[in-house]
Order: sequence, then structure tokens, then C-alpha cells
Amino acid sequence: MSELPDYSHLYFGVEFCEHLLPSADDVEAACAFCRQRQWKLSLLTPYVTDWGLEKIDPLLQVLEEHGPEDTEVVVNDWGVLRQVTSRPDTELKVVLGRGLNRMFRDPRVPDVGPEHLGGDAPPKAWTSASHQSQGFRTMLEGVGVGRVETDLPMQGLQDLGAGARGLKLSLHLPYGMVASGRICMMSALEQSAAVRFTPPRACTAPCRDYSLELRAPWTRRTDGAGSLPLVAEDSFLPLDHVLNRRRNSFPAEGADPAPRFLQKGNTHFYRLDDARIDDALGWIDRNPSVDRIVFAPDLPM
Amino acid sequence: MQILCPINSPEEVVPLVEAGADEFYCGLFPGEWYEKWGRGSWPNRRGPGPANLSSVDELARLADTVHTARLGGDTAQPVPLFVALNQQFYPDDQCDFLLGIAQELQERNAIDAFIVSDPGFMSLLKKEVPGARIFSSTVSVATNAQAVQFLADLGCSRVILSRHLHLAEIEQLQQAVPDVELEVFLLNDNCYFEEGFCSTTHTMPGFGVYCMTPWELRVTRDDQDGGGLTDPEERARWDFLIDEHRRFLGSLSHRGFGGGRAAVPLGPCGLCAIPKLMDLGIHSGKIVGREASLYRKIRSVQSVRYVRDSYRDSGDPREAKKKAVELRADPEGCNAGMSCYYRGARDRDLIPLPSRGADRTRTTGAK
Repeated sequence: MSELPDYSHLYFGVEFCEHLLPSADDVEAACAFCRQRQWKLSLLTPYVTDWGLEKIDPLLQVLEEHGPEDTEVVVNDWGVLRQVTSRPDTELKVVLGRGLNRMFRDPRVPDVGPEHLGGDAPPKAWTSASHQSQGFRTMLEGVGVGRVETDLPMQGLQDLGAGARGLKLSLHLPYGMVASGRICMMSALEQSAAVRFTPPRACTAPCRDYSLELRAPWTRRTDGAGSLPLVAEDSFLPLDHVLNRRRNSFPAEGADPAPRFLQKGNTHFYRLDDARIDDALGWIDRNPSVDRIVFAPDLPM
Repeated sequence: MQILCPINSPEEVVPLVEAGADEFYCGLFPGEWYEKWGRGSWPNRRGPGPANLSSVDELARLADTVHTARLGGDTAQPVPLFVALNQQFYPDDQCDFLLGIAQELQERNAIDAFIVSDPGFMSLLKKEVPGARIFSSTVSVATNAQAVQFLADLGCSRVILSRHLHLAEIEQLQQAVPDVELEVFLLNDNCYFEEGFCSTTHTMPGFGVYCMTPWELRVTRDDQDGGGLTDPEERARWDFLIDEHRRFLGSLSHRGFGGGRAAVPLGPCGLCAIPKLMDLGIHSGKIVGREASLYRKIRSVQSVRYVRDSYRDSGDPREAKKKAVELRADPEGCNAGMSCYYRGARDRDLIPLPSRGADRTRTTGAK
């Protein structure tokens, strides 16, 4: 971290789980922290139920009263967007979160080639995103959003067209979100059978203690597409008996032909490796609208 | 509550209307789309194949048949047909292409509403195809009243709610936006993730559905710098959870047909919730499966109709739930509750314990 440029913002909060929303006291402390360091503050908010909307309301009030200048609220829910923008006389700036900036973050895409698509080339749409579309940008302008957060999918993104110049982008590194939902495997660790694998009404947050590594049942395409799928050697058991199992250790990462991903709470993530981070920095250089990097030192949950 | 049924050919219209379908929805994957963008990019949430019609003309022929299949005799309203254009987002060239199709469908009076999830495309559709009715797809992700209102502000006359809401949450939401038509899921298919927050392509050729990937899992403790589990008890808890989780994943899609006389489909199910959803004034209940066989569609419609009409006629929610459980004839599944869209709707007193050594073939595909 010491090699990174000085930070200018604190991203505080959570993008993917309403049970992890900070308290009003925590948000007030974050405001004080930022004012002391002359940093800007961005409150991350997740997709929520009406219960979550009620929890967010006092946080917005704290931001209005104690937040530094140009405080932002990053929204991953159209309802939260409306909640913020309909506050009378608010000076809070709304930023569209990466969850609402849709794109193909499927971690299998780098390992898919024409051989999987009946000879077709992977489609251009796989390197596009909501923020690339004129209709989407116009809609955002209409609801007062001037900044959008994005991931860089493992297969990369097209450069922004001339029409995107009015919109500012923030790029999250090095973790990208693959998929998220209210049904949470980790929350189920503490739940009874009656409610296990339903959206939790309350949660003890086992995700604060545990993470999951997900080892893929396929090999990297660069290692030879013909080796799909990966099956344990000398095994005659059906695939789902061999795989989908907990293991205490995996092969050493450098020697493992299978890609790996990560799960924290209700969300799957990929982590960009050094080569892809270099690609990301190149993408930023070519696209001046991308004027902010959001660096997560650890899984962003 | 209207029964919204998937459809993919004119031949299905009459049997499904006779079974009880009140509304239909379909998909479109035109040949020109395939020529322009190949098979990896889709105009809706299903790829080329039986889930989609392959041309505007084919869709217009289906619409003609649907619109002339009147409910309840000649004086009744025509049956409506909706089309899904609900990919998570569309690049500009795909937006332009689909706007052209929407204009043509509107001019031919073929479609009664467009099911859309990309808010940018919603805005364009509102502007470029005046008079078009727009429904917000579940892919837009509406899990609270403000989100429903946001989508209504964009011009959506109906909002399809997330699959992952408890009945109490739907009730709270509905009371806050009583004027917006709401649709919920009732039968046949679930998603592990919230569909709008799943950035994967739905079925990657050669790989399958992402959420069904049979990963190998390594649990790590954050307080041990990413170290694995060492405590045998802790390992056992995770092993149990992972096995249960795999069982849950297996309950998210079609599991064959039930063992009762009606042999109803055993996918995800919200039949027990129908009385409560009707009390809340939910406008439509969706049956999933555009690609399914006609048999499965008919049985699905009949199942929903049976429970809905039971509650409508008797006013007794317990009686309707009892009929739902008997109809499904899947005591093991109903007990586990893993296939429930609305698990809290179950009346545990009505659910029989599964018999020891129950004939498993009855729940795994035998009709």
C-alpha cells in the first residue's frame, strides 16, 4: 500500500448486504475521520428491502449534518437512488454503484472460445456495459447521476466512446463482483433448517470470520481448451460427488491448472492478477473519464 | 390474481387458455440478431432455441391466436401477450435494433406489453414507441417500495418483484405503492443469486449455469491470515452446510413431476402463498418456463388455478393450502421447504411427514 498514491477518499459501508450497513454512530465517526484528514467521503449502500431503506435514512441525515464537502452516496438499488434524490435540499451526490452498472463479469469468459460458441467469436457485448449505452447515460442524467462505478471484467472492457465523456467513472480494483443475492450460504451457517437458504431476516455475520475459495472445475483456456472439464484423476464417481466438496488444501496456486474465485458472504468475486491490473491501468490511461480508482485492500464485504 | 403463462407457439394457446391461463408472455430471438451478434449475446434471458420465437412474423402469428382466444365467452377481453426484452443491458447497436422491432410490433398491435429490465432501454422505449406498455422485469431488481416507484416513474405500469422476498416484505412494499401493478413468481424456476445482480451469462455453452458450478471449496478463517479449518467440530459444521447447500441448489429448478394423480411439476413453488398474495391484491402470478413442454405448462397452469379458485370460492386459506400440498404430493420436498419461493407461507400442520423409504422415482421424473 505504501507504493500507492495518497488516498483522497474513504469508501465506507457495504455494497451487497443490508445486514452489514453501518450504524449512524459509525458513519458519524467516518465523517470526523475524513474531515480530519481532508478526505472526501463516499457511503457505500447495498440493495435493500424496505427495512434496509429505513436503516439508510438516518445515515443520510448524518452525512448531511457531518459529512465533508461533496459527500457521495454510492447506490446499488434504484430505490436508494430515489430515496437520496428525493430528500429536500440535499447536497449529497449520488453515484451509481457497480451493481447497477451491468456488464458480463462471468469469470468463465476468459476461458471461453469459439469452440464453445459453435464457431462464433465471443460477442462484443461481453466487453460492454450499461455505462456505454447512450440511453442509459441519458436516463442517469435525468435522475441526477454524474458518476458511475465499474469493475473491469477479466476479459476487459471496450474503450469509452465519445458520447461517454460527460460521465465520470470510478474503477474498483483488484476485486470484481461476479454475482450477489439475498440468499446467503454463509449466513446459513448459524441458521436453523426452517429458514436456512432463505433471505435472512437477521444475521450474525459469519462472513466477518470466514471466506471461501472456489476452485473451478475447468482449466484455463491458455492451458488447452481440450482439457475441459477438470475431473479428479482415477475417479469414476459422478462429477458432483467429486466436486462441490470442502477441501482443507488446494494445489499450490502456480501449479494448479484450475482458476480460483472467492466468496464472502452472499457475493462471489474475482481478483485481477498483476497482468490484468496492468491492463486496467492501461484502460484508465486511454479513457480520461475514468478519474478514480477505488482500491480494496481486502474482499469488499 | 391473473395466471401468467409462458408460451412459444400458436398450438399451445387453446390448451393453455382452457387450462386457465389469463395472460401470456413469450421471448424473441430473431435470426437477424443471431447474424449480427452470434449465439453468445441474447436479446432476453434465454438463448436461441425453444424458449424463443425466431421472427417478428412468427410472433405476430402467435399474437393473432392469443388475442382471439377470449376468456369467458365472446364478450370477454382478449387474452394479452407480453414479450420479454429483458437482458440486463443493451449496447447502442442492440438498442437501435430492438427499438425497430418494438416499433414494428406496436404498429402490428401484436404485443400488449414489453418486459424490460434495462432502465436506459425503458426510457428509450417510452420515447421512441409512444403508447407502448412497459413492465419492469425481475432483472431490474425491485426489493423495496422506492425501487418500485422509481420504475413506475420511468413509465412501467407493472413491476415484477424479486423472487427473493418474504411475504411480509411484499406486504410492506405493496402497502407503500398500492397503485402499481405487481407481479410475483409462482412456479417452476428459481435463481440462486438475485437475477439482476448476477453478471454471468445464463447458460455458457460447455459450462452450464454458473450458480450450479460444482466448485471445490476451501473455507478459510480471516483471523488466521487465510488459514484453513483445523478444528474438527468447525470442519464438521462446514461439511454439513456444504452438503445442505448442494441439496438446496438441486431444488432450484425442475425436479420432475409429483407422485400424485395430477403429476404436477416439482420445480420451485409458491402455491401455499397464493391466498396471501390474493389478499394483498397482487395482480399476476408468473409461471416460469418458456422452453418447457406443453404438458408441464398445462399442469402448471392447472395447479395455480386449482389453488387460486379454491381460495376464491371458499375464502379459507387453510383449505387452499391443504389442496396445494395434496396436489403437489411431494411430502419430502414440502417438508424440506427448499423449493418454496415463500417458505413462510407453509402451514406446517398441513405438511405430511415423508414416509420412510418413499419411492424416490416418483419424484424424479416418472409421469
